[in-house]
Amino acid sequence: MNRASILPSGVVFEGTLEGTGDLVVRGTVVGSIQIDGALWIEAGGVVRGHVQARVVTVRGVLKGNAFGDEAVRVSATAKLIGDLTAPRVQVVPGARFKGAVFVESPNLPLLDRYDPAEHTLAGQEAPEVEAPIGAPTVVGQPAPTFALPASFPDTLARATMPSPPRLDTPPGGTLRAPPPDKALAPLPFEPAAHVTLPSPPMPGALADAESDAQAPRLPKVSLRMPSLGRARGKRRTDPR
Amino acid sequence: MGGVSTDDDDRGRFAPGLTARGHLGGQGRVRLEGRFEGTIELLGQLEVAPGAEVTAPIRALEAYLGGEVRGNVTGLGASSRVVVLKTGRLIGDVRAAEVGIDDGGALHGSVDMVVDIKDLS
Repeated sequence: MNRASILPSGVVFEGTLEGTGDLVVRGTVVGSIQIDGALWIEAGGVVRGHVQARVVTVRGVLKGNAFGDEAVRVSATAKLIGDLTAPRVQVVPGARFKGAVFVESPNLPLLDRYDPAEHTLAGQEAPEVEAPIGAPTVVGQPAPTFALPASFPDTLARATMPSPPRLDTPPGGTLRAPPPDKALAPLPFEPAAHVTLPSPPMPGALADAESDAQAPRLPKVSLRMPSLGRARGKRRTDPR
Repeated sequence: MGGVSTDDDDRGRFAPGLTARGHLGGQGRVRLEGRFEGTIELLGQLEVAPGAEVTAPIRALEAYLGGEVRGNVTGLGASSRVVVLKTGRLIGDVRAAEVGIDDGGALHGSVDMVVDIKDLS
């Protein structure tokens, strides 16, 4: 005589259902259900209220929270508005479900946050995370330095090592920008274009920089944008 | 047991361990085996199994009472039937088109076998 209780289709119960054993709802229940067995809300069954059972399986409609002592299962045919709380929760794709899911158990801590220092094996410290290869260097540590041997070919050295830009100033002292139609042409390979410009010399050190022939000359340029009517005009850059 | 123990899959059943408090309605066949407190108005067949305890006014097309029932039992319709089975114990009034009391059944209340005028129309 341990067959499950059945609320057939067409039958409506309004109130509270509680006790032992399993329960199959094919009709309508308006109220709460609390049993220690399994609860099936079959397709066509409707429950409006909170339910608690050892295992709650929803194939029909549930408008209320579901508490499962062991599990809550929501099948693809279910329509559910409410929160699911159980140690195991399964929602089959296709189910229409709106609510929250709380996978928890009284025996297990609530995983409401993650802290590597806390969630480790008992008696062990949190492992140190090593930076993967290619990761940026740690701020505060010196950047790695590269030293090429003296016998390294000069062409390869220029191709691989960044060098400060070298702007060749014409003898007249005027730096002309390329024509507008060639401005967007692909630039030839120029390693200097891929490195950051060194800071311009300070005014106090300007004399030294002028006298030093080996130092790169960094003319301070100012661009004057041509007006639309004079788009064909040459852009002029005034040397410093 | 009154010939109502068909084992249809569509028949409802409230198992012995279940306690229900509230209103049971709708249409269908329900067998109560546990405890029920509230009201019952079923367009169908209601069966109170031996060992069940029901405290509710009952309105149903057919009612077969094998457990303990406290409340008035009213049959709905011209062909309504209320039967107190041999294990049944009813404390309340009975009103139905057909009323039966099996040998051994207990009934404390009045019996009215007059069909409602509105049900005849």
